[in-house]
Amino acid sequence: MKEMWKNCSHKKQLLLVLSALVLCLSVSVGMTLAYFTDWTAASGEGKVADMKPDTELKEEIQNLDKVITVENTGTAEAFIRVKVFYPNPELNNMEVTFESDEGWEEKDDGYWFYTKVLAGGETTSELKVNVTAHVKADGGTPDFQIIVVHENTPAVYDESGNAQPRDWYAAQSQTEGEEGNE
Amino acid sequence: MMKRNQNSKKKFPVKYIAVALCAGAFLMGVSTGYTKAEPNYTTPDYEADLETWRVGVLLWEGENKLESSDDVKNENGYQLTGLEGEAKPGVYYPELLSVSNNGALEEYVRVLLRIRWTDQSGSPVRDLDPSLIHLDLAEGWVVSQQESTDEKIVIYYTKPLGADPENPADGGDKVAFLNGITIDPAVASDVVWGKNDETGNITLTYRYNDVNFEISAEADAVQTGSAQDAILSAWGVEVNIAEDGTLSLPPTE
Repeated sequence: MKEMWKNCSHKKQLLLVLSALVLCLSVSVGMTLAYFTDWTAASGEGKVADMKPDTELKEEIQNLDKVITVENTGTAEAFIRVKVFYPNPELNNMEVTFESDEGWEEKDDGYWFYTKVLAGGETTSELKVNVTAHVKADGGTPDFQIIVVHENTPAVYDESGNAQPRDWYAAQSQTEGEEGNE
Repeated sequence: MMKRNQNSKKKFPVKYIAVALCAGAFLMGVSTGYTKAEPNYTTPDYEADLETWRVGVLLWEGENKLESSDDVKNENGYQLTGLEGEAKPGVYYPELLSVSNNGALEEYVRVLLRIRWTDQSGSPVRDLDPSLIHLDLAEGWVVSQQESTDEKIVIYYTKPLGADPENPADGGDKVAFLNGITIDPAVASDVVWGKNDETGNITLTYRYNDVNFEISAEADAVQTGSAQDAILSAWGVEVNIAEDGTLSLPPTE
């Protein structure tokens, strides 16, 4: 029985050694199968240009006339349009005409579009609203208001960098220049 | 008592031999692994020997190498030189990024391009859409649709990059992988409407205002010998290699 136990112990020891050898071999085999590789990395970043236009309507009143300009007080390049609201001239015994410098263009929807991109710090050319009020029968002049609404939209660009207005659906609107006149 | 001593003497060497063998082989294996991954830690003699079998890859922005002078593989910034200031939505900006083989062996190369929006502190802004950062990839590369996402584009160069063992630092093949970038004009339309409680005026918040876009590139190279097995082992990707060495990706299902 002792002999048998001794033999069994030798077998265990032999198995232990063999197992250790197999383990060692398997570890070294794994290492020798590594492939040649390399890597490198880099990164860079850029800033998107300011897209939020900040513009200010400026009006100068000359007698009954209005001279309209819009200044870009921000840094984002923008396109501008204005709409002028006034009473029906025929019903109010008055005449309203427009006189525009280069860059202004009237569209069918009643807006005056400034066709050039307005960079930060720039001001549009003048859009003049000429008002002639005829003397009424009672000797007075008609009461009226001229309201100017101006809107801006950021410039977007084609691949070559040519600016064009982004769609106007989300244009920023600002109403100013109410005028009472008697 | 004597018998017990004799028995213990017989058992002693077997255990120690097993432990010593195992420990020795493990240490050899570990040291082999490190010397292959980072030759800088080896002795000069061994490094010189290994150099003839080295695979190496470099990133370039135009003619500028994007690797620090001490040859340590850190992330190095590039300048987006074509930008010249701020990126206007819709404008195409040239930005030439390339990889070159600066090793002594032919190699296959892949590039992982990661794009994201970050705030002024450099933290990612995850609710902005990275797919609005358009990358104009160069020809000769194949996009892995399986590995790519909106934030990550994985491209494989379809030909092996040749090496110049005589002048490995500058003599190997160099190929461009990026030609330029464009920020989608849609960023100018992504506005949130609000109302100023004090003035009652409508306010518009441009979600992409005051954010940066970040493009990072990681270039991986692997030996051309046993390329399919090497790529599978190194990158975990199955590729096809034609007889003329052209690499292609299996069709995605």
